[in-house]
Amino acid sequence: MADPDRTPILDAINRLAVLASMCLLGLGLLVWIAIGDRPSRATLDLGLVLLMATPALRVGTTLVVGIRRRDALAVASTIGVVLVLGWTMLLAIWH
Amino acid sequence: MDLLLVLVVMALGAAAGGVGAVLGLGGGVFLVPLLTWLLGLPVKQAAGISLMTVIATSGAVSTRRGGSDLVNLRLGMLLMFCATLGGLAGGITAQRLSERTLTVLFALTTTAVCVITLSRLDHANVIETAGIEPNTFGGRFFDCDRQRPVVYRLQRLPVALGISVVAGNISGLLGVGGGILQVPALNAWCGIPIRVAASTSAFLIGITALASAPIYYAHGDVDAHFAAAAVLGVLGGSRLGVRWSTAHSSRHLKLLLAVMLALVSLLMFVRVVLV
Repeated sequence: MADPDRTPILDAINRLAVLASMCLLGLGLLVWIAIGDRPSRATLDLGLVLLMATPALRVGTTLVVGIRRRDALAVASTIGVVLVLGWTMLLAIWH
Repeated sequence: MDLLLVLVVMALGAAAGGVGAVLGLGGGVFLVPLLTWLLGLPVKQAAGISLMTVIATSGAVSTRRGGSDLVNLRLGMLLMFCATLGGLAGGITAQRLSERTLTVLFALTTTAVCVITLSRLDHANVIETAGIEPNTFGGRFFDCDRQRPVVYRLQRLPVALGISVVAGNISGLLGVGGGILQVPALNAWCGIPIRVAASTSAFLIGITALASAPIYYAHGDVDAHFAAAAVLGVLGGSRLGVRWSTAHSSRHLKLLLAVMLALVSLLMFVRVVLV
């Protein structure tokens, strides 16, 4: 039987998202140095938003692990986290 | 925006990330005082930038340590819920508190954690007797200090949950990784070995930070250039820090943590007088 803790596809997506956000932030700084403030703004903001999305991906991974383990407590607490994070997003967008 | 200033932020990020990774923290506890002291940024803005670095460090550490026996995922999932609740509350209240109040809170927090760490300097929290099984939220891991597998058991679950709410709240309020409180408190009061507490916390702090970071971002407290420079600096520094961390004993790590926190407390108390 497969190890319930192994989530290779989700782990790869996590790694890719972290790497992509770092590349965007690095690129944004290079664009800022080479061209100026306004063209770099969109790249930097995209990098920061992607960076903020990476923990959300990890929550998804833990949810999958919890479901595979058939661990009701872990699944319930992870769903609770999703609700809290959803509330945060609503507050941020509302502002 | 000055290029030199951005490079300074990157260098400060590298220093904070290096020390933070050694101690299993996000680096924010060192970055916030550095940004406020050396660049004169308001605590709220420093906290917004710092939360981004906490998310980045946690993401990088988690992708490296995924599957490691040092991360207690079952306990982590439970603590994560309490920490995000606290983080959300912290993110909201931070927008309503004065600079002085936030600085005092920062200084008091680091002082308290310093005292907790020093009070349990030699407590390893591992069970070496053969045949003992870990409890529901306990686990096993290979102990580098003893060079053999060891078992640990979680004690006082309600305390661990309470600590996580407070740690999340501090993270949201002050822009530091919740690990600053969670690591020493889980180690001192809940029977979790410091390496397990640090690794589990590293996995959690990014998620805790996400409960408040978008609020700072929406309020314009995250300067994109400074944040990008700090994130890249912290990640570079933390790569070096992780290597150093595995080569030193838990006692040395705790002592270093206490000394660094005492220094941060002193800096922030002085800032309270000056602000």
